Formats: sequence, C-alpha cells, structure tokens
Amino acid sequence: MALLVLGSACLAGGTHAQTTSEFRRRVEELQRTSRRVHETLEAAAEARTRGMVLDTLRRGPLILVVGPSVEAIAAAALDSTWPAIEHTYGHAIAVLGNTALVLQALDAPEGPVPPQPRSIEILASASARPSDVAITLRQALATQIQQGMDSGLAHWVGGVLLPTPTDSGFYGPLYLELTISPWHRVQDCRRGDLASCRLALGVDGRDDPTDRWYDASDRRRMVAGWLPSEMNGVTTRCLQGQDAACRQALRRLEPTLVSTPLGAGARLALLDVVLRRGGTGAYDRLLATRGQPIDTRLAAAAGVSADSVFATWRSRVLSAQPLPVAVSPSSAWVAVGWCLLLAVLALRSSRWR
Amino acid sequence: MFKAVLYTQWKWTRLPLLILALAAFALPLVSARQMTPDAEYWDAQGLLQSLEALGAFYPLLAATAGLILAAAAWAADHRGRHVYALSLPLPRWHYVLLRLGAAALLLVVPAIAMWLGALIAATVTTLPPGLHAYPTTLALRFALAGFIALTLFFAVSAGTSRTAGYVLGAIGVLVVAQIAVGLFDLKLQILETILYQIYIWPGPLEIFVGRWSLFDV
Repeated sequence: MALLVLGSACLAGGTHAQTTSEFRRRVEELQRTSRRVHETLEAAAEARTRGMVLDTLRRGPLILVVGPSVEAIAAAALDSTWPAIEHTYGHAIAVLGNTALVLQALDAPEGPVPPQPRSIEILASASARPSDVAITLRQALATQIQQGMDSGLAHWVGGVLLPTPTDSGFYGPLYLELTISPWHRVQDCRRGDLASCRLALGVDGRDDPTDRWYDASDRRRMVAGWLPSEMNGVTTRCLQGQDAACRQALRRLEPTLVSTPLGAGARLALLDVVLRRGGTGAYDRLLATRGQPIDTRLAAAAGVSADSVFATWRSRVLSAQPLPVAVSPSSAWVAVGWCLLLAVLALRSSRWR
Repeated sequence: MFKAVLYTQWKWTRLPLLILALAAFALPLVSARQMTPDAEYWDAQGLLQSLEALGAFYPLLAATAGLILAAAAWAADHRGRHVYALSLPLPRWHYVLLRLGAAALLLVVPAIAMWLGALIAATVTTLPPGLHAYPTTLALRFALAGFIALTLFFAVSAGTSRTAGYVLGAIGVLVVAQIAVGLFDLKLQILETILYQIYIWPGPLEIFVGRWSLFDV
C-alpha cells in the first residue's frame, strides 16, 4: 500500500533522477531540521527541569515567548505597540513569523527563559513599566521587519523607523537642525525650495554628492572640519578659497563619508510622513517599487506627488518649533499666584504664638 | 521701619548676595563662550545641547538665592527666640511682611546682575542664522523662579519646628509608601504623580523646568 502511495506521488510530482547537489541540499536541510528539533527538546527539557511554564503571546504572525512573571507587562506592551506596527508595515509583518521573539527578563523571579531555537532575545526588566517594555518591543519588531528592506532603500533611510500612534515629539530636533544647519541646501530648503529639500535629504544628487549637495563654501567648511590634519598643499589651497582644491581634497574621502546635509532623523521623518500619508498598504507599495528612484518610491507609497510629500515634511518640521526660554503669560501669572499664596502662608506664621 | 529691616538684612546677606550676583552675571557670559567661532555646527543639536546643559545652573542659582535670602531673613529672629519681634509695636503679619519685602528686594540684585550679564553676552556674541538671544526673558524667568523659591523657603522658615516636622514627616511618609508599594510589586507611582503635579503647570515649581538657555531658536 505504502509503495503504491509513494509510486503515485512520484508520478504526480514528475519523477526525475536526484543530482548530487540536490542530494547535498536535502542532507543539509535534514541536518538543520535535526539541529532545530534537538535545540527545541533541550530548551523544553531545561524549562521542565526548572519547572518553568512559558507563556506565548501571539499577534498576527508574531510569537513572543515570555516568562510567567512578565506575561502581563508584555501583553500590555504588545497591545499598545502592535496596532501601529501592523498599520505601518502591512504585509511586511509576515517576516516576523520566521523567528520567535523571547522577552528575556533577567531579573525575573523564575530566572531567565531558557534559550529557544531560532529566536531573537529582547532584554527587559521584570520591574519595568509596560510603556518602557513597549519601546523595547517596538524597536525590536521594527528592526526585524526593516531587515526585509532592499539595500537601496535601506541605504537611503540609514536607520530604523519606530512607528508610533502619533508623530508628536518627532520633529522638534529636526526644527533645530533645519534652523541652524550651516549647509546652504538645508537653508534653501527651510526657505521653501523643495528641490533643495530633495538634495538635502539625499533623495537626489547621489551621483555626485560633493558637488550637488554642497556649494563652494560648504566644501571649504567640510575640508576645514574633516581634513584639518592633512594640511598639505591641496587642503591649504582649499582653505584659501580655491574650490577646485576643495573638490580634489574631498574626492580623497570615501564616497560613503560624504553624508547628506540633513541627518538620518530627517529621512526617517520623511518616511514617517510618507507612511502616514499613504495609510494602509503604504509600506507594501514602498517595497513593491524596488529598483526605482527614491522619490518615485516615496510618491507611490504616499499616493501623492513627491513634491507634496516634501512640502508636507517641511511644513511639519517648521511647525515643530520648540518653545525657547520664553515665559508664557500663564506660567508667569501662575508663578505670581504661588508667590502670593506662599507669602500669605508665611504671614500666618505661628512661630511666636 | 522698612529701611531699618532692609538695612539689617542687607548687612546679613551682602557677602552671599555679592557671590550670587557675580555668579548670575557670569553665567550668561559663560554661555556666550560656547558660541565662539571654534564651535562649528557639525552637530546642529550638539551646540544647543551644551547650552541646555549649562542652562540647568540658572534654576539652581535662583533656588539657591531664594534659600539663602529666606534663611537669612529669619536666622536672627530664630536665634533670639523672636524677643525682638515681640517687643516691636507691630502686628505680627506686618513684621513678617517687612522681612519678606526686604528679602524680595534684595533678590532683585542677582536678577539685575543676570540681566546685565545676559545683555552684554547677547551684544558681544555673533549668532549663527536661526538663533536668537533672550536676555530679558531669561532674567525675568530667573527673577520669578527666585521669588518662588524665596516665598517657599520663607514660609517654611516662618513656621514652628512642629510645622517643619510635619512637612518633613509628610515627605518621609510618601517615600516610605513608595518603597512599600514597590515591595508589594504594585505599579503605583506615588512620588512620580506628586512630583508631576508640582512640576507641571499649574504646579508651583513649573517655572523651574523647561529650557533655560540664553541663546535658542
């Protein structure tokens, strides 16, 4: 009977002779499977020895293994984190199904979770608040998902986008950068030139960054800042104002050392704008346009024109001006009110009653 | 009468007041030193972060000024067991008001010193585009923070030892309660909640928190 079934299967699959390489591949696969089974059995045996019952939290394809003492904290943290992750990354969250995550609380009363096969450990404290664990989880999940980015996009982004329900607090540091950066592309972008925004963000001009991202005075500033120890003829002539010498000096640098005028935070903020604007499926569209120019990909993901994306990004950054040292009238009046109240309390002193 | 009280308090506090005024005058000038041409802008936020770190000294100085002036206002009365105050033909509240008024007036000295220092620093510093100096606002905020500290410490000093004991006891109870809930693994943040009420608007110490920088965006 078994032979009959095997024969039928072979006929249905289209039998053919097994080559040596296929045979080796299958053997290696069997060895890998065997290793995984062995590791699983070891982990289960260790957990049994210690009497530890592990909890498993599941959200979509994600499997989070936790010890019993942190189960409640982890569940609360996951509940607050997961909707933003799911909404931001769309189908890309499927990559989380490949690897289990272990929330490892080293100070947990039951001790650390035994090593799990094919898993990634996230370190947390058993006494941490859910909001702190949520930050750790968000970082781990976003890192894991963004490893699926193609190299072109990953190289441009240069960081990990942490999805949050709101974008509050995201743009304050960028306002400072946009305001006091010395690079002329950044200043032109601040004044409203969207082409300069593209260049400052490294979306355009990657073919010749030294020339297109920076002007002559920027290049002189770069040489003065980055190559001051090489005070040879070229750098000296550059610092004296010869732009050709500056270009020559900068060409000695590794191309990757010529960074974009705006930092990675600005690009992550732009990506955040794109994904929020694009809504559901934006990240999937971003990945689906692999091989195309960055601005085309951003526009496709956002579902609007690239210029609209850059304009939105710029207006969000400029609207995040932090309050300087200013004392608001309400703060001043409250301070005066407290002064008066405390003075009245002092007047009612009971010291010599 | 006020002149006499003011003069005696000036005599008691002139040395610490001089030190406070010098510190208040120098602090903005130290901030200005951060803005020398050597401080390039490779890290846009680094420059402001270093200024912000220095900014922690402004509220600290305001609190110190308030504490010293409040303590000095009551020190002699405490030592003399308030005999002098009781011998005066004044209602109690009037005497306390004189003491508080004199201390508040003396607090203006470091505030003006800071304003002058900040004005000089703002004048002599060439700021990069996008940054502005806030000398008057900084001095005003310093003065308000100083007055809050002064009235707070003055009110505590004006009370009896029993009142001070109650205040300290209440703080101790809160600390012990926080430790206890921690031992029982309850996620109850007693101290954090109270500190939040104190430091966030309209709390009494709200003026102390936030950005304290002479130069800002």
